[in-house]
Amino acid sequence: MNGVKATVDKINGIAARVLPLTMAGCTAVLVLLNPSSLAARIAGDTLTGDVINMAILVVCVVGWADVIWHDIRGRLIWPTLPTYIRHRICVGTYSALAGLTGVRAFVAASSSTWEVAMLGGYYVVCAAGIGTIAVAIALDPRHGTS
Amino acid sequence: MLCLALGWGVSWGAVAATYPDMIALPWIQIAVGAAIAAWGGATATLGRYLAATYEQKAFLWKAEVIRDGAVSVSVGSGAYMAGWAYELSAPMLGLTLLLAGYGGTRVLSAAV
Repeated sequence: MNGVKATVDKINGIAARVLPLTMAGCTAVLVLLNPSSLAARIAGDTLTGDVINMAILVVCVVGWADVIWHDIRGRLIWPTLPTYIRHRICVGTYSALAGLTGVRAFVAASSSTWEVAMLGGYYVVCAAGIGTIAVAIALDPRHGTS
Repeated sequence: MLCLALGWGVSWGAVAATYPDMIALPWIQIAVGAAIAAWGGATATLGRYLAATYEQKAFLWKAEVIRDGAVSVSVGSGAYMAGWAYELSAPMLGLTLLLAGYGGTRVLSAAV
């Protein structure tokens, strides 16, 4: 049981959450602002793609708020809300990020099979990693100070 | 989960019988689509786990995961075929799969 808790704590660490937030946020900005980038060319230029990127940015903002409040200030985000709701927001944040990253893998398209395989595989791995963080946060009680 | 994903792919392949052979089907895209739908279901499972934890109720992981896995992949299969029939764009179809996987289990939880 201690081993499980140690693993959860490790996955739920600050670095484990900052890295995917940075990765997802930077990729979304890159795709939105730099159409000539490899990521943007493979993702394609569609309205839904832009909506997905904007949604990822919004989710990243919530994720950063959680990191700043929970890890740096030692409190949970939005102290006025009940603990359960805040905990659920945190889990939902990383769940949504994992799902949207998976959608990125799904929409990867290019004339080059190698480019599709490379980027699609990369996003699948990222989605799995972020999903693991979501599960770790769900298993973490988070009855901390508010 | 793997069996469900494979079952989905085969059933979709049977519907898309205009292809000359099974190898021509977009298997990787089908697998990623199944994973997205399954993750939507897993998200709903995590939400129910949190609710059960805070209400100090028993949560049967095995039963919940199997149920949500079956529902999300089945609903995702329907969404995939509907999207294919209505010729949705790939980003729209991907987003639909995620929401269908999440919403399917939510609807079932509300109904049961």
